[in-house]
Amino acid sequence: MNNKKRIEEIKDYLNTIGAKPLHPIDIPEEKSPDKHIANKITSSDVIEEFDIKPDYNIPNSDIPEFKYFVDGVERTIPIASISLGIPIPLHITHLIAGIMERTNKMMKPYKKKDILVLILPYSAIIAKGYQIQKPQFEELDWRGDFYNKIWNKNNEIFFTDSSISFQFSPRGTLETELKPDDLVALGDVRSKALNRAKVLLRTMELGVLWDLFKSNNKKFKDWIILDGPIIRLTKYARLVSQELQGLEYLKDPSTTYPFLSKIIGAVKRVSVVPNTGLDKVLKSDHNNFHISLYKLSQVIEEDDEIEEYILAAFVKLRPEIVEYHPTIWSLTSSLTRFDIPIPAILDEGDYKDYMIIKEKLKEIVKNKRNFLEALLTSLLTERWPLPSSLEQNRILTELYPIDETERWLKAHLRSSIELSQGI
Amino acid sequence: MSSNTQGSSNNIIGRIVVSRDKPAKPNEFWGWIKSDKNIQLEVGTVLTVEGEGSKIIATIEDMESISDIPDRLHEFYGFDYGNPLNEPPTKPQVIKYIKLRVIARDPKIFVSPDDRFKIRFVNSNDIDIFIRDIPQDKRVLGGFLKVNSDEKVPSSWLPVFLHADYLLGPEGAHVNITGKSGLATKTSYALFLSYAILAWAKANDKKVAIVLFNVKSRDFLRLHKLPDDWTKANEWIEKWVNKIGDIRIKDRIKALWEQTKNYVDVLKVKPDVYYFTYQGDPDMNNMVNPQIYNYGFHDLSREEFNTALFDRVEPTDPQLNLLDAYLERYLLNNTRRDHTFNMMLDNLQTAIQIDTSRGYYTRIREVQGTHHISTIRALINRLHGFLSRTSNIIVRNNSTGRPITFNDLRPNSLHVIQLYRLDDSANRLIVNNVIRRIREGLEAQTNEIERVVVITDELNKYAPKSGESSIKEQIIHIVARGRDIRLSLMGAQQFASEIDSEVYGNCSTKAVGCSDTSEISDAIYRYLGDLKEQVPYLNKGEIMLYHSIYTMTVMKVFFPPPLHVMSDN
Repeated sequence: MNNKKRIEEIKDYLNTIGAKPLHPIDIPEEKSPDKHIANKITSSDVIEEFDIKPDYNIPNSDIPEFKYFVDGVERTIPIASISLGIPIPLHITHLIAGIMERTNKMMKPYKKKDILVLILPYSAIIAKGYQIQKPQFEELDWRGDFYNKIWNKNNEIFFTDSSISFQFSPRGTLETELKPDDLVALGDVRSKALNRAKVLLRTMELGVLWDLFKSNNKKFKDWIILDGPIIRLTKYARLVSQELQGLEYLKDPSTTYPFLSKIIGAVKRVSVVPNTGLDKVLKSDHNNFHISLYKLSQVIEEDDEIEEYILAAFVKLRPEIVEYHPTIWSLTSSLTRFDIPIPAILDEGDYKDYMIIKEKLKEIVKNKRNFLEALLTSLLTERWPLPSSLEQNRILTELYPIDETERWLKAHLRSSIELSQGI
Repeated sequence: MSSNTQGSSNNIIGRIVVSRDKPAKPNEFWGWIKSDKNIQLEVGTVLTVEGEGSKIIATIEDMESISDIPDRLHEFYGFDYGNPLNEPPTKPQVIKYIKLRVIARDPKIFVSPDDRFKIRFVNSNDIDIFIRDIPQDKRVLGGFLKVNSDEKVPSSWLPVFLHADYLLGPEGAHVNITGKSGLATKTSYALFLSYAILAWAKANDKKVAIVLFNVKSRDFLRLHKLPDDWTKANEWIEKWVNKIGDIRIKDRIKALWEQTKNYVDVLKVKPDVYYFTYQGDPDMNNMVNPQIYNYGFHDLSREEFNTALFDRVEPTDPQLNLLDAYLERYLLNNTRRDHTFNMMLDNLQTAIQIDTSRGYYTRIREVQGTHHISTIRALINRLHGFLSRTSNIIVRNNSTGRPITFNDLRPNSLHVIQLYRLDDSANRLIVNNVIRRIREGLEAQTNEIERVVVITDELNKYAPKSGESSIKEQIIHIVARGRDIRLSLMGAQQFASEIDSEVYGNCSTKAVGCSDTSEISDAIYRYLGDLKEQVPYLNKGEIMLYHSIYTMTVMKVFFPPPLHVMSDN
């Protein structure tokens, strides 16, 4: 179905509920000012330190080579409002997740999936006493099964209710995002819609990885770099597929290991920084890269169990640029964090007993120091070429292949005008 | 034709761009080409663009390779901070963009593309769009367009036809060819067109004569040396291309000749070649049955006397009056046609043998008016100078010589007139005389010849940008009126900027071979558009071609070198 036809279907629904079109507003996918970088310090222990001088031109079969690069992009805009005493904005989001493959140093598109999702606070509207027809599109909700709905059924248009959370409360009940009376708080309604789009994008990124994983007999043959933290994926794993349920809680090593054994997360905006060990990292120069390794749980604010099993490597990726860049005032803005799941450094047989791994993490890391050094060296070789962005933070911290993947996906994002055309 | 199949998806090599920075216009637009080393395009390659029921034939006018690297600083930094030995693990994608200029389209409407049309190589089904404006019986092969990457395959070369009525009259006429000397462009292309015209004439039962002035070297003196058959011709081609050494051109030439055979079989056309030369020409032995030409007093026109006597010298009014009066009496009003150059010298010298004590004005025998003896002396000097410089073409004692006449022309034949080594004034005199006689012959239709093509190099000598001369006037007259009487001038020169703008402007076909940037920057080349930048890089056998029937564009056209130049192998 072409995009125009997809939009037409949404338009038909909006007509039936009497929604009125709004002017398109473009909300870029990632608009993070630098103030969000290194804005919190946590108490952290350095597990291991490395001093690496990467030699780019010497082939080394021991150094893992990254073949796949994963990213996702979205554009979310309010496209109509329904007047229920007050105007309630309805949003549409265009989500694209994809993988690029690198062969002979050239990046090529590998897999891509894009969907349109109509976001409206349906339950809150009904609870408020207004009767509107529920969209007939496939619903993306807390029940999950997204992979089946998006990939297997091959649907292209979806609906999601932004007033109902995807999460359960600690008591096991489904949380409400927007209550009927919250509908007057338009900012909150919009914020919930934008958050819902972000969550759905994460599930899409996990979905393309799951697709790749399944197509390879449930394993990854080659190394993968994901744009952003690993836990962004694991947090919503259960929504994607029942088979991934429990990834965030490390339910089953036999599921967790193959899925996380070849994925590295590259975080270009580091908001939480450790209070120890960074001084040497920040003194890195192109002859010597000092890399400090931490437990991820100590350098982020989330509290999922899986963070205990992910290592966080802080790297000053491009010290030369930092030195000569006239507008850089904070060295911490030059930090890149690589999230390395423990399965990535262990053999499958050694990844069985979570308690032992947790207790002996330092020892494991020490034993795997050589491999970690090779892995970090490989990541360092990715620092050239520079990403094309002129944005200061990206020049310092983003990897070129990730930038290329994002650019490829963004080229497929429909413009605000296209998304709202005819509505 | 092309091995590519129309419509098959693997045949699609790109899409046109409809963006804010590169909006698509009705006659030109940009496109991107997929990243594939096997797709080798160059400026001048012709492609097909299609979509939404439209099919467009367009030529690549310009191309760019870009990546998303924003600037030079990024490039420097991105190579390990300026380390040229660095081999980053990822090569930034390089995107090739091409600027396409429309040559022809179906339907024939002037609108911009309204979608991202597909770009593919041209195939045999597309040719009709390209040549439909030229009826079958008017198609004269003008060269080939490159339509595929593989130059050694004949089908990679699409024939481009010229319209006979715009080449030889009456709708338009005249060809101008510009290019550096020694690059096998000017005379080679003139000969290629000559054979094409003769092939067209033979196929359509037309009577065309081609006259070639050989102004330098032995450019046209081996035209009779053609191989007996294509087996022999292929041997010649093979030997010749091996001799030139350039592998790329070698493959191209073989393929171009293969393709040329399908439209112009030079060996079937094999025109008779008639040579005309002057007494004492050291190259006479290279010719077959050359006819010696020369001129007596009555073979020249009044204008030609002007050309002869006042070459590069501005005559004074008394000198002009004297010459006019003399010619009035002995050339124009002389029914016996018995005057000679020696008689003229005698008459003038006798006139100045006077007693100057009675004044300096005197009469010349039977010539009206009196003339100052210094004027007569000046004319005598001019005449002496002319006769001494042209002793090999002027007969002094006979009233007429053996001039080249319209009746010497044979249909569908080549007529080579040797001018090499002649003095410039003799050179101009002969060109003027020959063209005049052809013009008069065509006007009077005194033989079966319907159309004549006159080919001359160094057109700047005859029709320079500045200055006046009778030959220039005649050429201007021919380029303006020649099409009506089917007299077509095919002129060539190194620098078109040095010839008269009216002469250049009236040519309905213009070919530009390799030329210097300084020459190409002249305003007369504005019609080349962006292709202008490519002109200094044109190789042997490559020209930018403008033909008035293709109103939309200039094309980069390829042609093979003539076979006779390979005969020495």
